[in-house]
Amino acid sequence: MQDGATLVLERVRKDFGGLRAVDDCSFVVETGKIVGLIGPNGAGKTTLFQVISGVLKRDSGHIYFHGDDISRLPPHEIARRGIGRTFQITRIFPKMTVWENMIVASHSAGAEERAREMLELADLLPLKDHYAAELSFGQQKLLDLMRVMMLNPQLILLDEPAAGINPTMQNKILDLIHRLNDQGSTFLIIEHDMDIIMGHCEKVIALNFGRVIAEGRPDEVRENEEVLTAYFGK
Amino acid sequence: MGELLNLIEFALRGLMVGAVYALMAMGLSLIFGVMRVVNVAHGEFLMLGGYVSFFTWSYTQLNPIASLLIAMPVLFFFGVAIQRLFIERVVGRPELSSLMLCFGLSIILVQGAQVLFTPDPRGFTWLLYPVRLLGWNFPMYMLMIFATSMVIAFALFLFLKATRWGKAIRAVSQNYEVAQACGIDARKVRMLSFGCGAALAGAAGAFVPVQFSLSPGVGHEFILKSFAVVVVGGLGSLSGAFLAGLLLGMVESLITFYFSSHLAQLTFYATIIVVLLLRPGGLFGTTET
Amino acid sequence: MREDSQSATDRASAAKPEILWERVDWRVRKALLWSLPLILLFALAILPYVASAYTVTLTFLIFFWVATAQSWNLFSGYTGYVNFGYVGLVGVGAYTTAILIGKFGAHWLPAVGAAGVVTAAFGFLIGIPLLRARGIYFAIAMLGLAEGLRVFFSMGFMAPLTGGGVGIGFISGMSLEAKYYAMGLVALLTTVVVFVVANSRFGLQLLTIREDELAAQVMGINTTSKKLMAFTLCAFLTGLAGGLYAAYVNYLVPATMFVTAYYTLIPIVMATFGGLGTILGPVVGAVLFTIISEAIWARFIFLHMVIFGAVLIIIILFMPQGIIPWLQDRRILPRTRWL
Repeated sequence: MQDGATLVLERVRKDFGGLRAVDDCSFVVETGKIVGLIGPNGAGKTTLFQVISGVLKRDSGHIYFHGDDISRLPPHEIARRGIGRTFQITRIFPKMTVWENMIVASHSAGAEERAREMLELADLLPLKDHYAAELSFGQQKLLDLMRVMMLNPQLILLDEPAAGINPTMQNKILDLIHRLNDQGSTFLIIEHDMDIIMGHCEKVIALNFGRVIAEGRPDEVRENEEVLTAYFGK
Repeated sequence: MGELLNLIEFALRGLMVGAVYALMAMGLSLIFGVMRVVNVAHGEFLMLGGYVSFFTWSYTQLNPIASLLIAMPVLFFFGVAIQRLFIERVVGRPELSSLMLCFGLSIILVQGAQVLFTPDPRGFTWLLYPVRLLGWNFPMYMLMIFATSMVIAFALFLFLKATRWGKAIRAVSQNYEVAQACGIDARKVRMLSFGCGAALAGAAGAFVPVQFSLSPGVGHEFILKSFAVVVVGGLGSLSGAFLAGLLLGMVESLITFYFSSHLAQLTFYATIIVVLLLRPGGLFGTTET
Repeated sequence: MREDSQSATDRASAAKPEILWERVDWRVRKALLWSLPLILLFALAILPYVASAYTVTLTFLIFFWVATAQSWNLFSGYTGYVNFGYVGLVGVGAYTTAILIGKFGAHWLPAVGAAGVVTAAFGFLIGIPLLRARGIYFAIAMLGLAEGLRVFFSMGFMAPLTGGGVGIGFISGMSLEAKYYAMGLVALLTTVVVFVVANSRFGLQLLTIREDELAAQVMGINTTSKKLMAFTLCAFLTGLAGGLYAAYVNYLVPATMFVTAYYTLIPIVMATFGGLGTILGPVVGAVLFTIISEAIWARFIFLHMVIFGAVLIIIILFMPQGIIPWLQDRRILPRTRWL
């Protein structure tokens, strides 16, 4: 277990019957960094997120969060310990208001204040009493991210935060990510858009067929033989 | 030594009874695998199969195995009709909708049966004479029913593995979107699998007047047992349902032998609780929370 | 995909009061909202002194169905987990009271109270294994519960306590008025509990379970413990209602008590018709269906159940959200947490 590392994966494996979705994955996400997770479709990126967040149980290997083994904890416990997560398709609660979406999971007294702060940060405060279903797609993604922030997570897993939204909104989200990063949050982001990965991530991990094929700085990974083969073939 | 032989005999009898549970549970799992619908009215399909078998016997003296040729198609088309008229409309809605819909259907079917067939218990005897097998005596009908159930189960596996429609069913159960992208008409597959599921329950039911006793409410007892079977075998797993059905049949028989039949009924219920306690996804289901 | 700026619907709904209820003059609205409940409460309070025994009994049954439909709604309506074993909770409550009064000579007040506690404990114990599982497994496990309990209460070795298959009879020592007021209080209590829960963060968390349980867990909500709390609460209230119901029936037999097609089906239909996850929905459903069924078809018991079954199917196919949300969608009633 390294110092300065928020998340450490050690030989994590996940099988679905005969299919090995996550194959001996080991990597490190250092504290305070924005790390990208790339790989072709079906490489196992989302499955990896499912395993880290506790939605799926890994078959073998270990996941360490700030040194603690979280491999066998239930998802709500992992969330409480400080790992937040968004999904590829936003899973906000459409029949609840924006405000309710924000405060529903919090127990503490300062929740309302924090909710206000977060909504303010995302320019969503004027919409706080609207049903989440009425928001535009981009606004829903923002809400999803802000909702995750309510739990003061130290590590945030983002599954394709920029997918399907216009460039203006994309910039808004990326801007937010950087601001939150400045405040101390660590990010692990799945993205297909290479410009975003290259432009915003300090480190990149590449996956193919469930295995880590590269881990390093964006420009290094981009030149990596295996990565190029995985995306473009021989 | 005599005690052990007695035990094995009961275990074997239980195995044969378990074949009926297996058939019914396979039908339940088939429907769930394709449509993610738990057919709460499944017990009533069994009951209807039983009445078809009984009335066929009453009017034509046709034996239960031959009357399967009537019972299974009747239940198949009945199942297709139910699916088309009701179940299809709640596809894609939260599971609450389909559960309540099937629940309502089950009530109507039971009450309807009570009026049409009267609540009197029905049954008939068939091939009651004992047959000597491996040193024990088993009633002939039991052996015949077991053999027939095995044939049906085998035919089902063959159908799913080898035929076009069978493969379509498996495709839709595994990945709905991809199956549609491959040109499979999911609606037809749903109708087909619901019909097959109903036919399986009907087949299991055809034996009920011979092995047990038939009345409009008989479905309740069997649905509880089927639920225990799919909880153990995993909803959606046909082989799991098959094996778990045989296993639970054996367990029921052994508990009846050692204690009482009341306790045996409770065992099914206790099984559900214990399995869910240890593995919330069922014994052979996925390890998802 | 919508524009990022404030959408047209926002502007429209901010402009005029489209809701039918709000078109009524505010003074009339205020007068109605204050007077109707008071008149209703007064009428219900004096009913035993002015009406026939038949009417009082009928209202007693309305209270019973309000209490049961509302308790069913408290758990299933908010969490989305269909409780098909509801009859089991009613039966446990009924039997607890019957045994305490019949076999131990207790007074009805502690006997009914104990029914609530015992049923709550039973619900808690059953809930521990069953609520960890997915909604589907929970539903089928609960469906089997009724059957399991029926067998359990019929068993020979339980007979000294429960009377086995023959059943247990007793005299509650309650007058019709006492039963009426007690059940009325239970119905009121249940509705108040649902109101409090609906307006609390706990209620909101229950709703997230219904909407998207996985998302709720990933957000840090311990869904299993919330479900367990709601289920135990539902069981407690149901136990009270069941206990009082036993005092009304005076003779319990497993074969007629643990009838899913009656004690599970009817609260489900009433609550679903009124609106799951609402406060007044089950009340509306209970009152409406008790009166209609009594007036038209209650004499023919099998028709009774067939009609309820058919109504359930019709509701699920055409109005699954229930009548109050339906009216809210059509902008006849306002969207408020008070309904």
